[in-house]
Amino acid sequence: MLAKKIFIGALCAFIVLILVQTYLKPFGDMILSGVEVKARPSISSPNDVMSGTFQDTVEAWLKQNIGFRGYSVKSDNQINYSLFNEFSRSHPRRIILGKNKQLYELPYIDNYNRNTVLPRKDMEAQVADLKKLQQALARKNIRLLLTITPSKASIYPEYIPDKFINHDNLLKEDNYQILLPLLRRYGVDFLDGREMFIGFKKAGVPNIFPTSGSHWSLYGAYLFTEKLIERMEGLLGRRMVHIESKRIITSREPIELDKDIARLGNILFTRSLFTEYLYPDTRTDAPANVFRPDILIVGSSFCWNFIEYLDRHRTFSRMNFYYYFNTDYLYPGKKRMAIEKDSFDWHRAVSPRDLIIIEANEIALGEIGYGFIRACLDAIGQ
Amino acid sequence: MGFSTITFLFYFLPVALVLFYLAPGKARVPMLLASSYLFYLWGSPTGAAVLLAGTVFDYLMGNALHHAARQRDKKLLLALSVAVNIAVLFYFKYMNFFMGELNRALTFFDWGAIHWTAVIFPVGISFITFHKISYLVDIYYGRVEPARSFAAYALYLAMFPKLTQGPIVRYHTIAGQLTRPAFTLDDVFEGIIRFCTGLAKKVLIADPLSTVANPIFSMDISSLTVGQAWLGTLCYTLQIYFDFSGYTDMAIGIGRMIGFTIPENFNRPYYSQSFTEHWRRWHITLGGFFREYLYIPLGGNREGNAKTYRNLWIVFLVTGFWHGANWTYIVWGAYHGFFIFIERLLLLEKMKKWPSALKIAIFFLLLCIGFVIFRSETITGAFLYIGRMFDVTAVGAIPSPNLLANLIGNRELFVLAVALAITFFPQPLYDMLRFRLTSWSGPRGVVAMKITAASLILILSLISLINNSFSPFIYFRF
Repeated sequence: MLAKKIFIGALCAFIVLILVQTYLKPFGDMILSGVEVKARPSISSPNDVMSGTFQDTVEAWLKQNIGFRGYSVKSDNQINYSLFNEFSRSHPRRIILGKNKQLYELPYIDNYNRNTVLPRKDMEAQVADLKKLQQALARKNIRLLLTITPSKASIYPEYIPDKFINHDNLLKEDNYQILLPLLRRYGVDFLDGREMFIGFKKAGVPNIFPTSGSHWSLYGAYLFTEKLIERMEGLLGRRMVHIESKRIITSREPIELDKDIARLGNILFTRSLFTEYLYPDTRTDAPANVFRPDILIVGSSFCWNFIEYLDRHRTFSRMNFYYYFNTDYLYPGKKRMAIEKDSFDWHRAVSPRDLIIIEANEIALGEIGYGFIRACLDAIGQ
Repeated sequence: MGFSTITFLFYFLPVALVLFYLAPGKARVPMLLASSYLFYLWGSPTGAAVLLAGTVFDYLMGNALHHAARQRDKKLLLALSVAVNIAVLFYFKYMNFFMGELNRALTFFDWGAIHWTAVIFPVGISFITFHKISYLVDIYYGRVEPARSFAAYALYLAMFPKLTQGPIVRYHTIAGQLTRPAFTLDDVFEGIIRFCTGLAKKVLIADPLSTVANPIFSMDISSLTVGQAWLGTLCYTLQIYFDFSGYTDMAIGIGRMIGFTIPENFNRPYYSQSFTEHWRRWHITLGGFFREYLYIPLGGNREGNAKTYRNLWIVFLVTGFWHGANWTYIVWGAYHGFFIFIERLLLLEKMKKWPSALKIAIFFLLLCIGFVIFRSETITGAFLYIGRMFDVTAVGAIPSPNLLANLIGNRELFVLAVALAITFFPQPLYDMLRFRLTSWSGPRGVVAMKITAASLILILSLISLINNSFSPFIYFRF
């Protein structure tokens, strides 16, 4: 009888503890990584209650704010990782645990499996628009460069668990293979990061993608930035600031994006996912009269790592980064502003530039520029 | 409000229980009634209004039935009250379906559709209606007196543990407990253990299986492989059992905590050797309700084979339609009715000689096929799906963009194996193990084991529940 009483009492205490932690937070909790849409319960009309919308948002809010949520989420994920050798399946972009602790996000593997191949005519329409924009900009003495950034899944497919590879599909052309000949045929200026990284891999360059990250490593991005500056110089015909590596530092503590998926895995012992990482110790090579262009970059989260180098070494006079063409980051200073696509001022945004870089990752070749190209062409009436 | 929500587990249930335990004896029924209405208002405000109106109506009709002197008046009152309840059920549950079908027919003949604003379906109305009918019929047959107070009757209908998904509690089985619910510490303890078991069945087994079944059933049939079709069917068949029986365990557990005996609803239903046996083990209270309030009043098996079969067909068609307003449910009911009919007519005798394992395997296979009909959106979809399950020419010939690994992870595979093991663990072996474990550990050991197991599955269920709410993006494109 005593055991039963103790059990009932402990259960009551447990519920009280959770509620106290929910509202008063006397104990620390583990911080969860990732961006989440916050639930905000509100009633704007009686229909919100009658239809259950209000009740649903209350439940969502309670789930998001329950005491010890961090410990709960991480414990469950740790069980998945330790017992079942996988990450939670509830993530919108599922994380796949590959061989040698290589982590992948599922959309990159889907792209490798050619699950979302764009029809050739759609791809050609995009390339034709790119060419039109390149020509329009050239008339204003502005250069346009398309950079294709690589996907970890296509550079390191050997670490993808076999059960996630659709072997039947691999003989098909992927978006990249469709795009490349079109870019050449239309004469669009581009820098092929995938080819570059396959070259690095063949040459035995290690750590161009981190095991614990989804994006290229800082080291890989550094190697890319060197080539990018070379290419910009070619297009602009001017000597720009160069970035040189004094030495390569080896670390077991990844920085920023090099651990993005590991952090998103939200397990209790994230460090168990870390391996070895390389970081170049860089210095600026900027002789007198060096040219610092005014640059506009439009692209995805792959840009952060090379923007880091461009910014740190002041390779530009001014630079804007249109993140997914919905947020504008102004450098130097990384001042953030929202982009109003409906009232996008093409002349103000584009006319003063020396160079526009459009970054497209392999998995986003169906949406190059995220609407920026069309917005520009509409603005100039094409 | 589902039982496996944070709102229920950490707010509603603890508060409702504390208020119930703190209330003096006489106040417990009103307290429970108030919390039950709050529960229903939260989940279905329309339903709560319909329930209240229906409760007043039935209460008055029940008293009138009881006091009616002439049998003819009693019959009339019963017919009227049952008809009103069926009409309300039909309006809220079936009118959208009926109008949809009517408009489809009108459109087909180019006669123009009738404008219809969809009715909001009050959750649990099917269960509530059956409780109401049970009350009225029991009074009619003199099995019970009408409820002593309006509150007692209102509580019978609205009691939150069984309000939305049953089990169906027949009035005469619970009438005594409605005025003064009694419970002991043992009841509270056993109720908690039962509740934790149900929560684990729902959260740790049914929910992971649904993450496999749902995407498969929503796949385009052209890209569905034979293996995927079977996997989806198996997962759904197990999901629906663990989901429903988990809910029932929670309902029974809560009922026990507050001094109500809510009847069992499942008894290892997939461990059956025939459809006939299955319906004695699956949704027992529904089967019991139909037997007592439909099959027997229709004549049961007392009027010869032909009428018995007719009555069975009626019962199973109604059973199917009761599950939902869609042709798929009616066909599912007919499918079960067909096998019950065949078993009675031909097979039950012959099957006696077959090995039990074979009978269980055949039954389970047929049951799974039935659940494809139940789960599908349309009859055509169901038959296409079933066709794919048996399309030997399609084995290895369908290029599917969905790899097996994308549909089922290691955890779900493990859960599937556990679910199958629980479902098909041989009964004699289970009884023997239970006996040995009980004798070996003694009563204190049993309590300790229950506490340990309940604590473990409760923690695992809660962290899984909380984790399911967390779907972060690395970068949200803003």
